[in-house]
Amino acid sequence: MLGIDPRSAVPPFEQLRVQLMAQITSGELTAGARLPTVRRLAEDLGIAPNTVARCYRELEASGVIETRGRNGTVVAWSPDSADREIEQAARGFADRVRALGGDPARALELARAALGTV
Amino acid sequence: MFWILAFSIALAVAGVVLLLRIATATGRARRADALARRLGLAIPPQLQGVIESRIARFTRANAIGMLLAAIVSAPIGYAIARATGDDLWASRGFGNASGSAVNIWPGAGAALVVVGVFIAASAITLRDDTGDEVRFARSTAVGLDDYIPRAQLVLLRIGTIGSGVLAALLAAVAVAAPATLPAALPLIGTGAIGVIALIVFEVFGRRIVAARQPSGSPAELAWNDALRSTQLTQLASAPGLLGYYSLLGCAFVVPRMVELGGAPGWIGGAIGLIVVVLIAAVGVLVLTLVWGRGNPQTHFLRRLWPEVAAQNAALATATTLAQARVDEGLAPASGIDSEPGAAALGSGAPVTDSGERSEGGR
Repeated sequence: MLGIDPRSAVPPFEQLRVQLMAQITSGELTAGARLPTVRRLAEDLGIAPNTVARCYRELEASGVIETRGRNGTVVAWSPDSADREIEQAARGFADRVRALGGDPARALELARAALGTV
Repeated sequence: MFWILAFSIALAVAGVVLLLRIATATGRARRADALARRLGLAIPPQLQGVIESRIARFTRANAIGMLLAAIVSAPIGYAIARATGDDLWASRGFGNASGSAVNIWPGAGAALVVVGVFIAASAITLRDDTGDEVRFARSTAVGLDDYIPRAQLVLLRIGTIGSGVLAALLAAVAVAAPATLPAALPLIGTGAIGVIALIVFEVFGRRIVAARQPSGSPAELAWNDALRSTQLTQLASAPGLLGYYSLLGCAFVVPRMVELGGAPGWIGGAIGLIVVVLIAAVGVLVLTLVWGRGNPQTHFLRRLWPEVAAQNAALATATTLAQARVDEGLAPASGIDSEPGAAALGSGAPVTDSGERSEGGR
């Protein structure tokens, strides 16, 4: 269920993105679940189609959802796919640290700080 | 002609009665309450007015459709009666004798299509009266099979296409042996209108599912789903009934065609018997497949609001068990909720209208 409060200080685009993201990462919407069309969701929520389209575009750019032509927009994210992407990003990070001749312990420290786990 | 006139008058009277029933606030409330109980979905007090007006709108469209259908079906029935050489005022029953009830089927089919179109129009043109408030929508796409069981969809498509093929076959036979045309005409008409009804269902059904559902709360969205399910079920009844009646008509029409074609009477009788057996088998199959997974009227609850459906089912089971204990003298009768449906509705609504997110819907 998605809810948009037009009187909220948070822009509708952000409200929609956060709710969809939460439902996908919590497993409420699983990989392969079909999302409503841009037009339908915009009409139901009383917001501009461009707002929904922008939200879908951002989620698509981050690999959370994907557009499959006539099959519409579907959820692409799953815990497995997220793990794979994180592993890939970690490998890229490690390669870059090595190329720069950095200290692995210091690199890890910086990564932890960036993740907010320090 | 007697039958088609009787049918048209009955349709018009039913339409007027329907209009009268929603003419008063009490009538509208009673109708909404009956639907709520049938579907197992509570009407939150703050939504009572909105839901009642939507049900009244749907009922009005249904009633106006019936009145128009009464006018449309009469000339079709008249044309069929004239073309088949029917005695215009005879009221002899089934079969294909003069005054046959089979002759009204194309007109009755056209009436069902007209009513369906009116219902679809009222569903598609639902006004957005939620205002500048919190709006709710489902995060997944929905399809026809979320409102009508897939088995029912498959069977009505097969049945209607089958009746269309049958109509084409009968038309071919009638062209080859023109003497059989008067007997075949009602079924050719029924099959053709059945195919039109299926096209109307497929086109308008998809339009209804794709139409917006402006909802100020999850409970209102659940009720929009409930009304949509009722409208789609009614729209699906036209092709479903016409397909089935076409098959049924074969049992009466084919033996007559065989007789008119000059073949021995026992061949027609055998064909009629086979058709009756087939119809019985199809009927059992339809009932088993459609009802096998529960009441088709509450299919949308199981698909779109599974927690509400589960809660209703649990309450029904508990009530049955409690009743059994009372019957066995193990518990006092006062321990049972006298209106299990009402209790289920009270606690089973997806969510209150407070604007909180529902956990019950998908």
